[in-house]
Amino acid sequence: MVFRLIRLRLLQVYRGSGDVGLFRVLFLAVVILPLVTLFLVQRISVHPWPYIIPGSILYVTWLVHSRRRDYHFLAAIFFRPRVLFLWEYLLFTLPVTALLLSEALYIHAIVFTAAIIIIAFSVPSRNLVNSRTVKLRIIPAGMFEWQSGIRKNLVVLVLFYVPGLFGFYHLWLSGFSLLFLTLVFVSFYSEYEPRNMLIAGGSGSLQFLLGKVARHTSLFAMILLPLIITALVHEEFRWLSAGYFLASLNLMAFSILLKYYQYRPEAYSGAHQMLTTLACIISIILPAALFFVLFNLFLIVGATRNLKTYFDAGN
Amino acid sequence: MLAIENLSVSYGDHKVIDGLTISLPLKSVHGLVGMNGAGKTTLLNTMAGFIRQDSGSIMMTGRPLKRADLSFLETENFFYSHITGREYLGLFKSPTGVQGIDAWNRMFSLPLDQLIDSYSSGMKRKLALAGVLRQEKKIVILDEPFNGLDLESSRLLSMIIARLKERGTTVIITSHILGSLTGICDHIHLLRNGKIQFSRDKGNFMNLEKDIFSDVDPAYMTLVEEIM
Repeated sequence: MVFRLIRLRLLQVYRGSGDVGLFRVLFLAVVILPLVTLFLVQRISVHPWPYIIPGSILYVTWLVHSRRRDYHFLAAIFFRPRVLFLWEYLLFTLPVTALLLSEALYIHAIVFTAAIIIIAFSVPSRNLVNSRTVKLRIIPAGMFEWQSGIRKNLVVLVLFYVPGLFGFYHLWLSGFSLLFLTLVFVSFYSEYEPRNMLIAGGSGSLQFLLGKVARHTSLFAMILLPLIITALVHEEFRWLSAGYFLASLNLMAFSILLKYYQYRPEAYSGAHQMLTTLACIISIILPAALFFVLFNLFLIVGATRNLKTYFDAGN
Repeated sequence: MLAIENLSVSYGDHKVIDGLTISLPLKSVHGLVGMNGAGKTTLLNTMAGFIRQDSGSIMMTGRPLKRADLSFLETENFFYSHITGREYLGLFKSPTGVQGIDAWNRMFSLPLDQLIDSYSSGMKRKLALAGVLRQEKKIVILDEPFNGLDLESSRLLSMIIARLKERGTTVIITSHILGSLTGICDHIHLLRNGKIQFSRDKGNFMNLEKDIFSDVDPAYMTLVEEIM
């Protein structure tokens, strides 16, 4: 069963790449993948990357795990779905484990594997049902992604936010908070709303898109502001802090634009999840964040064109 | 006998199943009816082991019911993207093996070698149903199985359920459409406020609708008149 499922997962990736398009697959395989691999190989032994790289991969694994919808399905046909999850995660994170081992980072590799086991054996939060909720009056009614996302990730958000408030003590605390908060917030846009919600505002596709980017990014800026203010205490890193702040806002815009670039009613996009996470990790190298500023311009055109199909349907 | 005793299930502070007790004879078809939110799906999920009960027990012939004893068609079914119907059915363990897939599909006529993503919602429902039935378990739980099925498929499903009963399978089925249950069930149970309010056997289905709605109708009528 384990091999049958993993074979199916690989088949999904192979067939899914057909949707991405030949040029983009080639670009990913020939340009992006070797560059990322090179970057990882070079950096894995340089402090603080032995923590950032496995930490980010663990975070992505946890995100994917907590949102997976096949727990009941696998439990019904296999009875031990968590064993399947474990094999799957171990296989897909094998390159990172191998990289850690190759650099003799044995403790890192053991902790990394232990964390993968813990993630695999926890019940995905999507499958936990409860009627408890938190009141989110501060979030405007139209920002349903935030309302849903904050409810799902409240504990994690608080855990990531609080250290950042002590950024005046050590700049790393601000960096940690900023990175992980951005990772969480950009993940809110992986689930796509039904078409009737999309067109409820009655505006055109470009107006809708720009309005949404402006509203969401400005609220995100307000949330990040206390963290940045504490980070600005470190005078020699002022420009760096400001740069990362802007990069985070740009990633928020990237996530929204990417969502509508690939939008299909009521769908969930694993690709969105992966690409936004990758963008966050790449943006740690600040000059590389500029690439996403340019990429956003391309996405505005693509997303507007894609949304036009849904806004104009029936006219 | 499938004996559920003093079963309670809550979501946070909200108690959905409240001390439910019922004995369900095996090798027969049981219908479960109730309003939205009455706890039908929660009860089925608890039986399937997807939700842990606060208290109480579910026993089958004197031992706790296990997930391996049953197959379960959920209200909303999960399908991996980019896989074919045949690959999906191949995930289910079946006594007839992978070779049996085409034989089962003679009933459902699904394009098994196409990607599931291209299926209509009715076809997806039939595919999930085929997966559940292929496991040939002693207990089959069907949560709203008629949802999304066309008239012909609904009729086919009724025939399948009758055949399952003949073969000694216990079927537990929920539906919002009472008429779809009265023709196929041996027993119908009304779930209200987390408890079984009453059960009726096949011979006593005549006044079932009247019994179910007797205390609900006047309240609704007053509301409708008040608002409209």
